[in-house]
Amino acid sequence: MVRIGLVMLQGARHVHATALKRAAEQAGVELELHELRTDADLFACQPEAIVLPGGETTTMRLTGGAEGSGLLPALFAWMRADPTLPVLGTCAGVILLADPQDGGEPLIHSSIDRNAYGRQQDSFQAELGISGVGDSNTFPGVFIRAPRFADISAKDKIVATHQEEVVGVRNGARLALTFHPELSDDPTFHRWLLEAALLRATA
Amino acid sequence: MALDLATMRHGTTLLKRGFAKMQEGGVIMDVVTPEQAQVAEDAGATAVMALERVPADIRADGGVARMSHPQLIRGIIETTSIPVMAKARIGHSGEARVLEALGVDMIDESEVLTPADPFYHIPKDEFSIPFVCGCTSLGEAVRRIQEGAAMIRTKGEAGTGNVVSAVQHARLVDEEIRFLQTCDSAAHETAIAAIVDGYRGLEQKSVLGVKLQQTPFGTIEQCEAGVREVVEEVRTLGRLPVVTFSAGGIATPADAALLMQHGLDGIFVGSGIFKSEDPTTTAKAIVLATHHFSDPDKVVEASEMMAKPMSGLELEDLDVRYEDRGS
Repeated sequence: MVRIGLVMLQGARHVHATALKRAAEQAGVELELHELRTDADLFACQPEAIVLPGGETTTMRLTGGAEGSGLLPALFAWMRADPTLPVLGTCAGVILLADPQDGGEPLIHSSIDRNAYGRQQDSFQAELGISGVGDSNTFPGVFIRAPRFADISAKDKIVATHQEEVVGVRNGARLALTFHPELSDDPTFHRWLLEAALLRATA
Repeated sequence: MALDLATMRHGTTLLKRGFAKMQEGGVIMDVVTPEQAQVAEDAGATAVMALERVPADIRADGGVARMSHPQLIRGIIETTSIPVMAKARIGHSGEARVLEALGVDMIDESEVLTPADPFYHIPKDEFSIPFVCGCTSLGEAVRRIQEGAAMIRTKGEAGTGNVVSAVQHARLVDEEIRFLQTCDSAAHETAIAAIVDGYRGLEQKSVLGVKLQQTPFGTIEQCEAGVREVVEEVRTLGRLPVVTFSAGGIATPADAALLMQHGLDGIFVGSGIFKSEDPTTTAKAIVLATHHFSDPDKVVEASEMMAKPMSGLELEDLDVRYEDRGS
């Protein structure tokens, strides 16, 4: 069994839940999904892996910040305490990992720019190259008002590229993707998260 | 970095519906100036609706209400980092093309503006950006999704500060979904026919006995096939297949919590914020209540923050009911 904490502050949360359930079925893993809205939810759940969905970071920082429900500072501290904890951050989730704004260290080393492709009419789908996650070396990418990495740190591993550009990095067990794997029908990344959590639990 | 655009697909249904999904759990606020857009963003809005006048003022002013001036929309786009939506008149593809070219992130084909086409909405699949449309019932919602809407909102009764219509629309859509999930095949066929009949308004105006051949969305047979597809999705999912927000009359944190408890995915607030006594606080309070709708203590906290909300109107006293426009 794997206990996953899904950050429910705002955004595309339910598609992640669906993608996790489908990945769990495929991998034959029993999934225990916990919705995280407050710091108390986090401490009660003690998640073995975390999903940070896409949405609007400005909203998430307000609803989940120290002045709000307190989830984000507690969650960042939780992640820092154990670098082996698997994390999947997508789109806005990457911005939170790269720039947590809680006074602590970033959760990935690379830096990121918000809405850097332009407006919704510049949102796009394209085939990506991926490495080190799952068996395939391609993935259907869905980018919606996506952020763009400004600078790729040598300390992060590159896991996904679009043309020449890096669109996904990994810092240890933390995966940061500027696209939306939860909107594709391909469960590769969600399966990776479940299997990484299982592996860590049995290690 | 230069991108090879030829291998990238833009404006797909997945991208349009995906954009709406990013709004889930959010509050979308009507704003009439760049300064108001900043207030909305700072309060935690997930998007702003750029307008010349909020619905309460459109109602008070009367006359024909049209798309806002491009300069105003551009000013708001340049100010805020969150998505910007803008309203086009029902059936007015010309206004929608202007909004698309301006770079708005989503178009609200809205009954708050004076409809341009009494029979048909805009063929939304022909556009590269997503649309949100209002509904009062499941039939309207299904027709709009069939036409390409990536997001649905209840119409409610905008500019009144009165949630009674928004609640009615949420309840009716819910009840009609349950009906479709449990009814026998004869009732199912009757329901499909009733939904498709919504496309026959023009035919009914003709005294020559004209049989409708073509709509902006294809032949009437193609519309029926599209309606059947959406109804099938609704039956399987037990909800609309696109993100569904509440709109029309929301004025207090408790209003927002009430509509969220009805199972809506988020909230549009039109006049409710900038027609209240202290808009900055009202905006924050409604975001707080929307986020914690199931926690009464948090809704109390949000309600306590409020100064005076906008004053409300009884629906019986209205000259124009926006909810009746564009079925």
